[in-house]
Amino acid sequence: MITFDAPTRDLCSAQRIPTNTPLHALVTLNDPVYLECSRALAARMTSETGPGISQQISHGYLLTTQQQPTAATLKLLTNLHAGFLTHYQANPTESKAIANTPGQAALTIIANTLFNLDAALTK
Amino acid sequence: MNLSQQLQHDYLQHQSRRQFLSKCVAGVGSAWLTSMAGKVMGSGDGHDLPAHLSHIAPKAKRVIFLHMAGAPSQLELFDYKPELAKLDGQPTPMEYLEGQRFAFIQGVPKLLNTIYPFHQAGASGQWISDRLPHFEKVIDDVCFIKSMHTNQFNHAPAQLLLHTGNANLGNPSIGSWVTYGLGRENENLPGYIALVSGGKTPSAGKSVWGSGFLPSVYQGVQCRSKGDPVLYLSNPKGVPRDMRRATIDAITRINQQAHNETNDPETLTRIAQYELAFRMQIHANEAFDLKEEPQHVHELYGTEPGKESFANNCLLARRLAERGVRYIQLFDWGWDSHGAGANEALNTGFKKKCQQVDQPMYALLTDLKQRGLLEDTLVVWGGEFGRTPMRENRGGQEMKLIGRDHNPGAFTMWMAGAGVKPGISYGETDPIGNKASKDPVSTQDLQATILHLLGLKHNQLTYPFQGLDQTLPGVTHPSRVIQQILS
Repeated sequence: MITFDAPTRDLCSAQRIPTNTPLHALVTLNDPVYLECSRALAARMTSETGPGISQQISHGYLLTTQQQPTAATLKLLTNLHAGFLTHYQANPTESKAIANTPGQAALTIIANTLFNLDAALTK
Repeated sequence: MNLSQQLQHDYLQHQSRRQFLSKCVAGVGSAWLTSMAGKVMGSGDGHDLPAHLSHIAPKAKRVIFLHMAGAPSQLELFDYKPELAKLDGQPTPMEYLEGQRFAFIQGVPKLLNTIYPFHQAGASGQWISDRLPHFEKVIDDVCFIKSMHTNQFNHAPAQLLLHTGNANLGNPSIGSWVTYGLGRENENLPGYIALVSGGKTPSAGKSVWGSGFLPSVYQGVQCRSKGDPVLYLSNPKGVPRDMRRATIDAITRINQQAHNETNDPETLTRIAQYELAFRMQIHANEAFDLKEEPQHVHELYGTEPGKESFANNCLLARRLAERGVRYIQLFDWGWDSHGAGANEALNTGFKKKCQQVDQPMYALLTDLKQRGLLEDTLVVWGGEFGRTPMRENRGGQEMKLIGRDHNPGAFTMWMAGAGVKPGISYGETDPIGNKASKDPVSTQDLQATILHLLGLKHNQLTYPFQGLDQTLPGVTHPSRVIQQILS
């Protein structure tokens, strides 16, 4: 928690400082825990909605930000997903490193993207 | 095109000012926010600095501040007081006790002579005790300020006062002001980095490197003391770099939309920090890797990569200074020599602390000098206050171990490098070292001087907050640049 400037427990802290550093981004993008969470979120995005990809992304967006995505945001994310999917279909080794199927792998990275939105990190 | 320019460019591409204003409810406030947005985004190279700030030619490009948290005894290191030898063990005369507040001393304490012998060293003949045999070799490069004083006698408020200009929480630290004023020198690393050793965070907590009321893009970035200084610099397996680029681009676009709706400058900070994280993934590993240093450098500093130590942090500070990090703040805990425990008493723990910092301090100055970095790097050393010439008598009793209480009235700091006269002492304390008597220097004067050396005017580097153009030393009391120590 040092990375997130949490106070150490040896002293009382009257006030926590607002904190927002590049090190946070490195953790929430790259820490295996967040990848694990992204996999789980991707699983919820598929299991709790229908098979349509934009529906799944909308659901993920709602779960992480408590908002519906705008049409532009949804388009941005579905295009991003299409790119990831193509990439993972062509690179099975990389795909396997993330999830079982290229589809799941692409959605996992989308879930990770959602976790890293300012709207998801800051309430 | 550097980070900030690129961000500014992207920002303008996504959102013209006209569009932005047309969406806003309140005209003036939003216009201010737009200008603040520009400020946050455009701060990387200092191009948007108001013209009046660049009046002074900067001598220093960057600062390494070595804070000995807990307050080291000036009377056992640098402030030689022969008078104390005569008065050792005698009750303190009332004239020295009147009006003075102590953290622990009760009743009439006894005066305590320095417990380590002093001698003159170097061509400059400055006084120093026998506790710093390595540091002594570079004494001719150092300017001592022996007349430092503060108005806080507890650690946390005194540390806040020293670093933020205010004893209360909520104000930006000096490194934040400096990066706000000057921006980053290296677009691939944070401009302000904090490193901690001694096993404890400073008493004032992380606020001593916080950004207070400045946008958090200016806060100090704390690196880990043990193991890798920065975690997770590599992408997870299965995520190639271009995919990461695409992810961050999408995050930035969506955050930009969020900012358009909320106008929260913290969202802009987020965008900037994700960009910086992306750049750090390529460049930071190399910057933070102490193992890259050759054996002779490790021997010079006494470093062991991966362990928590002041030596490691000094070497890291040099590597970061070399790569253009603007403000590098070190804290080393363990200098609170009350005599209440063996780990801190002057005759026990204090000795160990001196050993831990002696060689690294010497190594840092020597190394910076060899590389030509001392010319434009300012090194500052000191604690948050000083220690009493009286022996501490916690509970009014004589204690087993020897220690001194907190003394806000007098302490010694030193500066070396860019723009500072080497081999001199400035200011004096009274004959027993209780109070700064000649040329007293307040913590605010020190801040004004550091800013001056960086080319910033302390009373003109301002930020509007709570209806006031706030400054680092504060507007309610005068502070001065110590011209006499400038080369």
